[in-house]
Amino acid sequence: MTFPRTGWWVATISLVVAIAAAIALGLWQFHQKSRIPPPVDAQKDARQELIEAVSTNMEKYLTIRLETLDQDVATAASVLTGPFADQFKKDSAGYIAMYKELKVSAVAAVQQAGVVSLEGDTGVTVVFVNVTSSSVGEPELPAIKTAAEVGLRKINGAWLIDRVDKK
Amino acid sequence: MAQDELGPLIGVPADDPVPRSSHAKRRVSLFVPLTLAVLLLAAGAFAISQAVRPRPVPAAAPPTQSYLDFGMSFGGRLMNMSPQTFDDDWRWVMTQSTGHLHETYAAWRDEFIKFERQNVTYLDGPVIVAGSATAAGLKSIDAADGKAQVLVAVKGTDTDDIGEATPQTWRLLLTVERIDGTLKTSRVEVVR
Repeated sequence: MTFPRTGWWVATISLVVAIAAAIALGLWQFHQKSRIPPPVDAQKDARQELIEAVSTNMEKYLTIRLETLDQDVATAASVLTGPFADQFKKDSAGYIAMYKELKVSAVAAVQQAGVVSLEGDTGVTVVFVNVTSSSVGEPELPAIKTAAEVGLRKINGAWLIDRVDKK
Repeated sequence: MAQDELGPLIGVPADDPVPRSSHAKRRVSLFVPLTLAVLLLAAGAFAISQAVRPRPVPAAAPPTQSYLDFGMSFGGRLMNMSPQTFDDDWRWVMTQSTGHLHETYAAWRDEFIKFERQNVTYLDGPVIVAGSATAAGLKSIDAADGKAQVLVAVKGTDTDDIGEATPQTWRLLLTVERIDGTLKTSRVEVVR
């Protein structure tokens, strides 16, 4: 018999190479598909956005300076919504009169904020806020350190406060 | 026709070694590629089966409510100190804590006991701190390792040795870790 040396060797080597390639491809895919990716926190960015919004809005809501009283009250009203905003607007004349009479200012600083719940356009947060007051007679009164649960609603892309409950 | 001439045609082994060798080579020349072809089919099937296998879906982030519930429970119980319940409270905090807090709390035990003894010896009555959590919020969570920062507001009273109670609000930032499926606190910071 004539041994088809060249053709046989080419075919055999080709098969061996093909087998090696198929096994390598299979193992690579096996490795790739066996790796469990880390858990995805779908709400991470949304939570961060809510924390930033409540921190900024609470400082605007609670900061009233004697020198810029009308403007600060208007700014505070601009970060509120719903019946809570209506009540604030109704009371704002009283606030202005009280601040003028007592000659006091209050500056709020949010120390920490966290999310209680977040569903669509509704969020609930917990805020630790320090309010430093000063009056003409007493330039720096002791800071009021408080905790509050703050409800927010997203209106036209902006988070606005719709309730504040002291805790 | 002579036997030697018929041998190769009818498959009868020839007497001489040349035809035997030829048969063996022929078998090898067929067996090897056939075996390799079968192996290639198997390897190809393995590769295709792995290629079409769907990628594993990432696990969902751990539910945040369990962290808030744990934070409320831990923060509330932590802000309780009384000579009557000291041992139980201390043991409970030890079982619910890990890492830095666990070590610190273990080291503080003697200090607590010394303080309580001083209360009994020098003060008119026990100093009692009683609090309960009123709110908790999630500051951040690492979905990969299950570590979270939880804010807890605790309201309560601080009663001095003559029985005068002062209302208190404590604001805590807890670092909560998931260890073997169980939540434990590894750090407590008081927010000033």
